[in-house]
Amino acid sequence: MLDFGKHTFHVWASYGVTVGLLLALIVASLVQARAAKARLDRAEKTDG
Amino acid sequence: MSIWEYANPKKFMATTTPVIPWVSWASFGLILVGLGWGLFLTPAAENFEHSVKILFVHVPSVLMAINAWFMMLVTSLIWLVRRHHVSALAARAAAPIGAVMTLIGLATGAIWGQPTWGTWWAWEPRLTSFLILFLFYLGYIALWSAIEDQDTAADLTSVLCIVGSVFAVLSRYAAIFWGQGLHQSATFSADKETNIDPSFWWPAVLSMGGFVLFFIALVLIRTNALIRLRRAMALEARANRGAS
Repeated sequence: MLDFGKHTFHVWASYGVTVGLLLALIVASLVQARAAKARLDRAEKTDG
Repeated sequence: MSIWEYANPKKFMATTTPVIPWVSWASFGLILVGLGWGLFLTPAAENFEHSVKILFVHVPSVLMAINAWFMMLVTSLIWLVRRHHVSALAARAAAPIGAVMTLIGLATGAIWGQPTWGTWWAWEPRLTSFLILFLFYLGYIALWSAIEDQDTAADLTSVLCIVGSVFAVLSRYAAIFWGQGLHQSATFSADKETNIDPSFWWPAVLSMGGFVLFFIALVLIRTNALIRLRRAMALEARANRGAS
């Protein structure tokens, strides 16, 4: 791990929080998109 | 051709679907280069030493947290005036993204504040109005989920969005309005000569551009998902009526 002197923890913590939350947002959005597509496919099949 | 043609859900999806991969990859590229440059290649600043690197994640997230609310304000007003469902769904799609950006801004701001100001948090105008903006995001998301009728939910959340805009403006300009508190006014601006050392300017601009594209890509993905969901719910309701 790169050493940023007395701010090493602060720098890595801020980047860790940011990347972690952005990844969580991406995963949640893709799961939501996939679920919506599957539900519409099912509804269209039922509707004929 | 009128811009209102894109209020048609089919037209909106047909137009945005091919764009999403390009915007997504461009945002990944810019964020990767911007944050990588900011983290590994920038020198320690004279006053802040290495803690200055936190600004490359803090500033873009705060920028998007505030501007996401303004985007929601515009689309909410379009809904209230013209009753285009896509605009209401776009506002709904943007809210969780804005909430996460606000959370990142609050967390990285606290991490920045501890070594710089000697405290994780202070009840000063800019920080407090930003925290209230986060609560407005949560309230907005909860209100959408709490109301079954989608048009009523869109109406009420639009009103909430207009009210919350006060705190979006305060988050941006509180340091100027009150002229007090720990938080400084704008750190970055388009004018690199006067505001910031050139070695910090490019990574800052690249990461801000990356965050903007990231927001656009996710809003498009989530809006398309909400359009599909709305269509599915309409078909299910029709099937249920036919069965009964």
